[in-house]
Formats: sequence, C-alpha cells, structure tokens
Amino acid sequence: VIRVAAVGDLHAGLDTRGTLRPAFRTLPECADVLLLAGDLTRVGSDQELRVLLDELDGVPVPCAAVLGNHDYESDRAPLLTDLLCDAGVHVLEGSSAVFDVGGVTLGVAGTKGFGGGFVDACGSEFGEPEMKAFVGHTRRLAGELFRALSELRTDLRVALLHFAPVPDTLGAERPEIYPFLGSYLLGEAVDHAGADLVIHGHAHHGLEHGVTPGGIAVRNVALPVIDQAFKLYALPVEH
Amino acid sequence: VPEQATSKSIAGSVDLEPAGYCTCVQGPPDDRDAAEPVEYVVARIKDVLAHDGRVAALDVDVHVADNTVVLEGSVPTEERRRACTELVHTVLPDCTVENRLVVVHADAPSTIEDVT
Repeated sequence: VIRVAAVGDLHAGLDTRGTLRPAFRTLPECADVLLLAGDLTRVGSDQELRVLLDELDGVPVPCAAVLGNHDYESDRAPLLTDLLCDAGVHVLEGSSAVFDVGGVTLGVAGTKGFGGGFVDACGSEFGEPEMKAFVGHTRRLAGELFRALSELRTDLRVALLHFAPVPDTLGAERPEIYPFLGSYLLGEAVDHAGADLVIHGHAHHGLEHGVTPGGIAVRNVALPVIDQAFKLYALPVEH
Repeated sequence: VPEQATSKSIAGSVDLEPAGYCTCVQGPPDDRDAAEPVEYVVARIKDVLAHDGRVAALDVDVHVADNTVVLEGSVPTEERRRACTELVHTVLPDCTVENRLVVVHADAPSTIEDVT
C-alpha cells in the first residue's frame, strides 16, 4: 500500500506557530506522502505561510499542495507558490507530481477548483459576463484537472482539490451556499479521467466521507472536519 | 433592543452604533436611523469576522436574538476565538456574546483508513 497523509484548511497564522509540529514530526513513521488541500494560510500572507513551512521544516516526507481561496486573499498567490516550491513542496494547479514509494508510483493531480454548485442546482455560463466568468473559471480548472489526471501513468492516482467535487462531503453546510463550496464539474473531471482517491477541503461543516457518481472515494480533510492534524489513507496497489 | 426582537435567530431589529457603517449593507447610512433589521446585523458581524485579519473566518455561524450574539463553529486557536468576541463588540458594543466556538485539535491520528 501507499500511505497518504492529508489535511486542508490549516489557516496558518502567527498564532498557530508550534501547534502542528508535534504531529507533523510523526509523519515519517506513518505516511509516504503528505497532501495539503488548500487554505494553508489565514489571509494569504507570506508571513503566515512561513509559519506553516517552519512546522514542516525537517519533516522528510514528500509533499504536494494546492492553494485555497484564503491563500488568494492578499493577491500574493505567486509568491506563496514560490515559497512552497523553494521548500520542496509540489504546488499543483492543473498539474501533477509523481512520487516513487519503494518502486510503486503515486501520481497526484491537483487544482484549487472553484464553485458553481452541483447538478440540478448549479450556475450556468449564461447571461452576464460575470456569471460566465464565474462558471467558466471552474470549467477551465476542471478541464485542466482532467488533462493532468489523464496524463498520469502511475500505479495509483489521487486528485487533490480545495473546493468540493461532490455534495456528499458537504454535510451540515447550508444548501444555499453549496455553489460557493464546489462544483460537479470537478467530480465529472475525476470520473472521466479516473482516480483512486479524491482529497479536498474548504467545507468546514462538511463530512469526511463521500463518493463521486462514478464510484471514486472522496475525502474532505478540512481541519475542522477531521479535528486532528491530518488523516491517513492506505491505498492498495494491485499487481 | 426593541421589543419586537424575539428568540428566533433571525428576527426583529437591533440598535446599531452610528459609526462603522458596514460596506456589506447597501444603502445610505442616514436611512438606518434607530433600528436595523437583525438580518443585516448578522451580515455585518459575519463581514467583520471575514475581513479582520486576526480571524478571517468565513464559516462562523452567527445568531442574534434580543441583545445576545451566539457564535458557533470552530477556529484554529484560542487567540482567534477570543478575537471573535472582540469583533462582535465592534458592531454591537453593548451586546452579550455567547462564544460557543471550539478550537480544533491538532493531534496526530492513531488509525489509518483502508481506501478500497
């Protein structure tokens, strides 16, 4: 098996310094890869990100991440991406990373994703340019996720998102805000490309477990949902 | 607080401080006069919680009834939990804040799930 550790919505800030490091230090014994499902920071400042990177410093586990909406708040997403890359974190946005774990390959394709809602209750690219831009942004990101996943030729594939691909994992979130929490377009991209697991965050009042209409396991690892530093998933390798 | 404010979470109206008119509530400040519908008060509180850099929380549940504001949800630290109470008082200085926010745990997991 490959052991995947995953968490999202850490919302690091100067006040979180030291809170995650004890748990992260256990990662080498329990996980082969760490996936960060966006909202790494509180308002997207580089100072906040450096707090998180300090928590991860010296933890010898490969890591991939997507950004979340909070990481865009200060309009410094490119700087955050550079800082993450400098720290050895694979930042995914319509792209992928491949990890070799004892001869078994794990491919992770990622995007932040965006909103729009779910089938029968979703926005359409119709009418005002703002509405077309909103849904069109999600459609473009979903298309890039599909391409990145499809191109992977690895033993296992994981889709890493911030926004939700299915309503299953939205749990106690109010249905009125579902269109701001995710989009069926993301789930559709994963189902069409294929994957062994989908990881996302963003929905703090959601549920951990869900499944795409095509039967792929979905896990919402937003910190308030899992209420621990990360979750562990064992993916079996079929030969 | 006017008497029409009830125990329902969204009902009645609340006197607001003249200063700090919230950009999330449209309309000229002069029209607010003495009382603001509770719906807009909730919106103002949520707006402050979202845009104050100490908290930046979009997911705090806010309920206003009579002169009490109830906060529910979770935050990463005790500092942010306390800051939420302070921010509510910037909107309603004389209200009672019932802060039910919990601080999330950050322990390492003791189990691993087999995903099949």
